[in-house]
Amino acid sequence: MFIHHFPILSILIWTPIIGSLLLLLIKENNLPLIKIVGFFFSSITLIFSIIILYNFNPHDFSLQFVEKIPWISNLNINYHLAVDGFSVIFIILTTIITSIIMLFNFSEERSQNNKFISLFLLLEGLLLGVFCSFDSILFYIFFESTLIPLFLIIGIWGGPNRIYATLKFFIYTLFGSVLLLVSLIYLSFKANSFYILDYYHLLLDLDTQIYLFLAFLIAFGVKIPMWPVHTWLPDAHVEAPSSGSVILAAVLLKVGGYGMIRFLLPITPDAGIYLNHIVITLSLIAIIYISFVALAQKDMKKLIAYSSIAHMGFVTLGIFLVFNILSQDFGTDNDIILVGLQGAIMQMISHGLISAGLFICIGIIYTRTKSRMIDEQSGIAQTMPLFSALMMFFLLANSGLPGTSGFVGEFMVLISSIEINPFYAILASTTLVLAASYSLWLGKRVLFGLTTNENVMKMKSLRTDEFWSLFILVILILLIGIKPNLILDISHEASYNIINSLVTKL
Amino acid sequence: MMYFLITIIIFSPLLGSLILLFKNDKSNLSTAIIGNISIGISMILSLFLLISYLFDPTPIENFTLFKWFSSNKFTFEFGLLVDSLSVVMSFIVTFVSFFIHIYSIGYMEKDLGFNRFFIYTNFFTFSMLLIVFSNNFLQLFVGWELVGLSSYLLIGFWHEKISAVNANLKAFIVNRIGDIGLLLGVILIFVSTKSLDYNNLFLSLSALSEKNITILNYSFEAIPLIALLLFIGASAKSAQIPLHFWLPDSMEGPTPISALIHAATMVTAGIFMIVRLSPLYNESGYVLDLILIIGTSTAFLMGLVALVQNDIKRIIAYSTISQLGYMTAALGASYYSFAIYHLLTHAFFKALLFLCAGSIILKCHHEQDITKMGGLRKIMPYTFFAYLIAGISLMGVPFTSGFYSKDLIIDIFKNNGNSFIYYFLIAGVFITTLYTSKIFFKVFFGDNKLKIEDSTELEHKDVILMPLIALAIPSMFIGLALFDSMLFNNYFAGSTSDFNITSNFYNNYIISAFSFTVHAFTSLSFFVLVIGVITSYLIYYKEIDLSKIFEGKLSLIKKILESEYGFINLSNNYIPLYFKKIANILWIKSDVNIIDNLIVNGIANQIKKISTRIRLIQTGYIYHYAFTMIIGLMLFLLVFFNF
Repeated sequence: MFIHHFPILSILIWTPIIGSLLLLLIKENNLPLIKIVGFFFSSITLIFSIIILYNFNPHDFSLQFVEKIPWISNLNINYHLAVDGFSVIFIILTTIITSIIMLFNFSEERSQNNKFISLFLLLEGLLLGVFCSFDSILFYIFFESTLIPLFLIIGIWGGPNRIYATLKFFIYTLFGSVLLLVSLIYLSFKANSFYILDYYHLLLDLDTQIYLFLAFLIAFGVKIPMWPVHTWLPDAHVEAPSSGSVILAAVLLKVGGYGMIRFLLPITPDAGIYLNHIVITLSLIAIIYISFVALAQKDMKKLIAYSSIAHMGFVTLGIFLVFNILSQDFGTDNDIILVGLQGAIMQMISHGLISAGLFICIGIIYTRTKSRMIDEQSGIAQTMPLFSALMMFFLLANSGLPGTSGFVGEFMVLISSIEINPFYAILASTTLVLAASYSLWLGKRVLFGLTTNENVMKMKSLRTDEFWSLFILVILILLIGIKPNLILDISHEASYNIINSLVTKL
Repeated sequence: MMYFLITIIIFSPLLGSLILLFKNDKSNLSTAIIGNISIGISMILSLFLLISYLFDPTPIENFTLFKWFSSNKFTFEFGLLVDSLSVVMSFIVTFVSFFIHIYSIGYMEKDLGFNRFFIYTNFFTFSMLLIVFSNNFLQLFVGWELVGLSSYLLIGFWHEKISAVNANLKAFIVNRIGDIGLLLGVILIFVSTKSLDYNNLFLSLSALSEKNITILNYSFEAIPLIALLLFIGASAKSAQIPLHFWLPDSMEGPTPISALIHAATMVTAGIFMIVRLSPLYNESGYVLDLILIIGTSTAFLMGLVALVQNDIKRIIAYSTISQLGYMTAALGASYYSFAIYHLLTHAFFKALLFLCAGSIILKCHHEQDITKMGGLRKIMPYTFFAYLIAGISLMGVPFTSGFYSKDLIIDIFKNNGNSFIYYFLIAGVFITTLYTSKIFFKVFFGDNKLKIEDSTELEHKDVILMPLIALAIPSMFIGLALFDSMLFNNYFAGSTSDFNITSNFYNNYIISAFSFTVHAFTSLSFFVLVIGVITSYLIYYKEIDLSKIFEGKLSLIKKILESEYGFINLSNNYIPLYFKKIANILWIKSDVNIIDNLIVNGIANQIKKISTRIRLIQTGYIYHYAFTMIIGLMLFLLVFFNF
């Protein structure tokens, strides 16, 4: 087909980046035009990503839409773009979320200018680059440079304590990525290539694998984030402007999970089998401990930030259970392993949509009451019934209600965990109560009861753009909840292939 | 044919709910019409099905509805299992639901959330039918969560009322505790049998009985463990000790909801599930004993609490818990069809009791304290009459529906010689009589304390009175009408595994409905019932002062009962308090102080400190640098040339 001879991935990546440059040419105070241009470029990118999805063959696990141009040829570094099942899912997530942010930005009364919108487009392009690169140096450059736009978004448009938050966020994640760079260089020497898939076939001894494993774990574990390297996230969320929080929670965290699946899982299986108990323990701590911490929060954004960490616990649990099953004698039963890994992916997508919805909701409340404190709100349902219904929906989805996307991922991860060790499943299943507690308790305190606060009484009803940015998310969450195979089928072959290659490698 | 029929029964309420959700006009009339017709269709079809199954209970049909999701070999599907059990249950759900919907037209007419109310109730009926017709565990779980959601939304229907939103949060979270058990059980079944179909589980029971599951070096037999986990889910939904305490609080919701969800249908889902899984429970050994003990103690202890309550809805709520205890006890004794039979009659008379309560509350301008009411007999003749029927049915006066189902359960234990349980359940009869008559005498007799005006017109609109009459009929007669045909005519033979013991019981003990009734007049429970009526007449009508009796040691008992065995305090104060305490410790002590301040910022501060010190070396004086260079050079020479 003609699309396969067309550099569609380059177009996908560079469209938003060119858009972001064009935005800088527009006069700073011409806000309506800026917002329209921003929305236009994000929608174009969305359309490109849908074209990719449409032409993507989910039954083929090999790389598709490959573009390979020599870049630094004497080092054999290539501009090498391609997609597989994992990439496509995250590409779609990125483009959808960015478009929704652009839609939502129409309503934000924050002092925005062309640079603010421009940075979001730039960030989108870079994130798409992360998900498309199959050259490790190219990957690393994209991976690293995503920090810059977000650093600026929080650092310039953030709250009062933004400098502390940005520095913490930046240094924390940079610390991880330095280790990543070292590992990638080491691997490239071993494999004599920077092509990521070449690393998969390396036969490394256990000691080397353990070093690599730890380096990858720190690099991606900080990003996702895992307990105990999570403390940058609540601070960053609290200080970030609403749309910054949305993209941070919905997409940037997923880069960590994507990296684990792309690098950690296939490259260091022996070390994974050796060390998975540690990571599983950390994941279970994240699920239980962080849920409790979320209960204690007084700031809505912090609460959702902690809830994100707890939900990401299921992602890491699902991924590292793969090693655990491999280490036991389940060798023949690839299906249970597959369920866990697919569940982790499902959980990432689902959390992306749900947390985006919740952060937008909090943004909507904030623009009206100028406060994110839980005890300064009450009875919003009286003044904004439609909004409250939508927010309640996201909160219920966040607590994993069947029929929403929140249930499927957790269910699948639980299946694979009970097969390995019922005790893990017992611990992980406490999320049913804990997630419901912090989500619905938040809903109760913010939405229900009598309106006591003057700011709440004066709240304006939902704007059309606000409504649609939430409603699209509602539709997607329901759609995935009712038809989970929309997601699962895309990544199925890729997951299956990884697991098969792991089983044969051992 | 059957496929379409069931699909319409299930999805008609969902369709109604969706139409109402996107309905634009604000008229109450169109809402009422759509909301009621959608349920009405399901009701008529279910009634039709029930009648056809009463003639021939054998057809068992199993369909796949659609594939929900799949992962390689595993597929998770929605399906329909149509047999005598699901048909009865669907009849109960749609029949009660339909009349409560009609009642709600009147009850909710002045409420601003009229449309919202019907969206929720229609959605609830759909979710409940999803459970009823499910043929697999995942669909059961989905329905389970969705009825929980509907219950949550409806308890908190008046969301500005803080007590209501506290109650719905409590209800949801307690049910979620049960759901942990249910979900773990379901997943355990899945990994043990590689399928979630009921039938597949029943077929692989013998293989499963040899399987052990190891948790932290302790080995458990698979079947009892699964049965126990599922029972945890059932006990939360069906309000059994110790997960019962959400139900009395759920009375904060509108009264039709209490009738529909928290008396007749949703709370019986747990009972229904265990009946549905009777082959599994038959094999589960000690779990059955546990169920029996929990059921009996719930029946007895929660009935006692009802005695000290004064809120009319709370009394009936505790009565519901107690009656669910009777059903659970029957389950524990493996008489599953008896439990379903009590579920059937209870659904009608308890829904009727709640609707009467609603009618009374409406007349008394939302006063719910029965000690403040009185003398309503003349003013509300219809309600009086309906309450009388529901009340005697609840007490179990012979010939009423409640008698046939409850005495049957009590007689199980007389027959199998388990006298301990038997006497507790008999004591339960006495208690039931007391609290039922308490409401009766306090509300309908005595002085008209609230000064309710007696108008010459009807006490309420037709839409409120009609359901009272419609439910009074089955409350009175359905027990006798279906006794022989449903219980002992092989009706449940295809669905439950207790066919042998029940037919044995029938042949040796009951013989026929007539002889059972006649026999009942000489039984202990009837004697207790009569004593109960006399006692309550003396206490509540003649108002004999009992305060002397409740001095001294007995006052302690009263205190315990009034604190509802401490569950009020536990659930409202202690548990939330300790959760918050743990949360705060984890957050402040661990997250903020240790991880963030000590480690993360600590490292940053240390680096800053060290660099501040090192910075001092950068003095800017050339002679300092020159001096350092000379020393450095000397050290170099020393090392390299071994001076």
